[in-house]
Amino acid sequence: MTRFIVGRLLLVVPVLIGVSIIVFLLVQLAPGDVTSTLLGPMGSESAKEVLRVKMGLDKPLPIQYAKWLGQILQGDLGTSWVHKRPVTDIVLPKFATTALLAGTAALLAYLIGFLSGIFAAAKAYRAHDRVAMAFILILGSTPLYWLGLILVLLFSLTWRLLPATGMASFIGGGGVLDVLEHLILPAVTASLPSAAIIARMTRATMIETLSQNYIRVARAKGIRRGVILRKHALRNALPPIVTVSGMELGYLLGGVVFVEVVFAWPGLGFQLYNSIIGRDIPIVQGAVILIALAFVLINLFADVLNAYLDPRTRTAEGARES
Amino acid sequence: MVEISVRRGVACGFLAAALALGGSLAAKPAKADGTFIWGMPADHSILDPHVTCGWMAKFVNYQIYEGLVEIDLTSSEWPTKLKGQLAESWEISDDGTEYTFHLRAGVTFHDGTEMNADAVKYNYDRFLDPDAPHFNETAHAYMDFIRVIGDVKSVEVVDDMTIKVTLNSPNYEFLRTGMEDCPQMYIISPTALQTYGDDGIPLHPIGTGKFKFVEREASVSTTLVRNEDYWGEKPEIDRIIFRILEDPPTRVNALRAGEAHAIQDPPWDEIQGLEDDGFVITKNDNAPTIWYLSFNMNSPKMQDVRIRQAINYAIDKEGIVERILQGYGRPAYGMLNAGTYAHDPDFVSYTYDPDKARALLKEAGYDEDNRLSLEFDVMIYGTGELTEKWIQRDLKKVGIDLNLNMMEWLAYLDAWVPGMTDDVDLNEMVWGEQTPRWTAFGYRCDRVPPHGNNIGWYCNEKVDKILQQALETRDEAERAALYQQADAMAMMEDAPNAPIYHYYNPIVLNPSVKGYVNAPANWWDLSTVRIEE
Repeated sequence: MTRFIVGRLLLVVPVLIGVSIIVFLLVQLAPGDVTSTLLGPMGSESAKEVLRVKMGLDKPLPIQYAKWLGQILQGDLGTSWVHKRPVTDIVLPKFATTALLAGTAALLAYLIGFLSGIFAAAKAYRAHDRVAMAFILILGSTPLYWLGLILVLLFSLTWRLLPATGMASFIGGGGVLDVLEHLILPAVTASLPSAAIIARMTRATMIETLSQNYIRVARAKGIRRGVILRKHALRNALPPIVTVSGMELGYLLGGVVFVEVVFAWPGLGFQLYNSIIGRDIPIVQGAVILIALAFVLINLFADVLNAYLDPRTRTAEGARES
Repeated sequence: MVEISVRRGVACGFLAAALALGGSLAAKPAKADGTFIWGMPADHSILDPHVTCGWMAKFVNYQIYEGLVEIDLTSSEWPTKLKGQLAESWEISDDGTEYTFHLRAGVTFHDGTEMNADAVKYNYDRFLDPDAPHFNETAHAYMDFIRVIGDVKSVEVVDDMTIKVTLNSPNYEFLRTGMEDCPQMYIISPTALQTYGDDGIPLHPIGTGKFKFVEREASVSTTLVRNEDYWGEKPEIDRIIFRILEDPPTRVNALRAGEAHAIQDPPWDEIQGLEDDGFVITKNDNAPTIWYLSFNMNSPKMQDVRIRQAINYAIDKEGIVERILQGYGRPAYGMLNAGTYAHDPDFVSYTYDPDKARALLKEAGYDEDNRLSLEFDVMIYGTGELTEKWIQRDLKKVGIDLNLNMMEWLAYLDAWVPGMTDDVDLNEMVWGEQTPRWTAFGYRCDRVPPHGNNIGWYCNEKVDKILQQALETRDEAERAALYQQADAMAMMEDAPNAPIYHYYNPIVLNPSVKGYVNAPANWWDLSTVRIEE
């Protein structure tokens, strides 16, 4: 198992190097001049030139990249051009805020997706199954931005049950309950597309597992349906579901941007949106690298969990390695 | 468009269902504990006034810092009046080159240090004197843009509470020039400048203003509290929170849910609904904002004045303000924006007349068989480019095909600032400052890039002469008349621009907000605001 984990960890390195190169190059390809962002539209050409030299922008790209990568490896993501503060000071707290939203949304998505998937599989091809799947498909395909606005319209503006924006009340707020209240609408909105994918995945895998010969044998032996579902089918159906669930959490971490914008949730996605508009490149780079790192680590965790759940995975891996 | 209307239809259905189930969208008083929450449409730039640009940063800085003289924004009257802030009084020498400021005694910065002539000089040295240890090159570049660098010859401490600024030539717009947003000639605490340095000031903005800085959470909010030691009348509210709410529907939702007391830039098609639900709409017919097209005098196609005039005749500005702005603006006919004291509301240059436009184009050699095709640089600014598409449609009717080159705002600014290249025929901007000198910057031969915003390379020595004469005229009414004369000459003889509309800056308030003044500016004094439950 340790060998498996170490092997997987080593695979993370080239992925992250690839991400860092893409992030670095994206900035070079973006339209507009960095120095005019920093000096404002009034910066003179000579002032821009001085700044270009100071920032090392006159050096060849590989040298700029190496310098930048060296700083990142030391935990220095640079200084925000717009806010004039260390990128880590801005990006890390916002990452935690996004993780709260994405984590809650993922839990909701697992709960809804998993339960409705099992329910649908147990009643496969019958009316229950079709209604549940149609419903989940409609919710999952609804544009998040629109769905968020509709939920706000109903629950915040019309019935005044929940807050419409932010993570805490600006007046007299900030407690755990206050944050939870603010969390409900964005988390529900963000969870639905993932719930739909997990539901369909769970349903398909369960149907496939339930048609296996060993399940037929179990049925023939007269074991009760519930026990077959729980003990025999579910564990064998889990690995692909775990993989997809891990990927969904990763997507949520990087993909709740629209939800954060609609609800003014002060997360990394919202910051990324702002920084792209304001061309605050160091923040864009830092945020993307952080999201990529989280994505890779979550998938690594899902892989390890799978290896634990299904010994065949790690044996195959081990066999290939040796 | 179809997609939007379907969505809107479904949304209306949901809304109807919700209302039927016992809800209401009517405005409810927002929570109050002495805190006033303002919903901003974009994050503001840094809070170091000498190296910042933009209306949002000016708005926040206006509450924190003070200059020697400032425009009085506690009245919505136009034209705006100047009032002494850190300067109790000032004199201008007979030849218009020496400004002597008598400073207000007993004023302290938010860090408790004293404001005096040395503090003012220290601030001027930051952008004027390359030999000063705290000289800031970026600040110098910013100040150069508004000609402070070219204008100011020397700054001298006369005594502890008197400072004299000497100019290179007579200039009666000097005071107003320093009150604009890009950059802002505010006085920062010298102790803070020494303690925190250039990089630290944005997070430790220390001035003498009515509110003190508390904290800024990037892209989320900036919080200020009342300055209990303020030298003048203290603000009514205890705390201001500027919330960054970039997405227009989210901004409206925050207002409707009572999570913001006021919002800026409401979507035009939402204003009526908000008013119907009891929210208070304020506007100012003399906001210094003008939306205009500039023509490229270097483009071979645009060198014929008949084409520039034809475009002016071909655009239905009344239609734009009525259908797109929903009445929150009026057609513009000259380049002196409605906020400057020199604005002439009665001046009309070219009114909508498509037949005349066709006739002028025909004279210039274009007709239906030989249509004129032009390249138009367009900024993407979150308004759906409705005005630009409207103009494209109007021009198509008279025989001009407009190709819209859309650019994201910051990329657009990068293309706009250095001036139009020969392959661009026209571009656009929405801007305006309270000094008529701003209009001069757009006209004068010596203000072409990189020395100013004459980005269409316009030059007419007769116009320049009048503008220079205006700068050197002491009497404000006479000065206004000269600016009007220059504007009329440029518009009627050369038509280097097509002004489209003056904007009314609608601000929507929760009904519990009282005392807010929508002054003729692009930023406002929040010290008069109070909240009544």
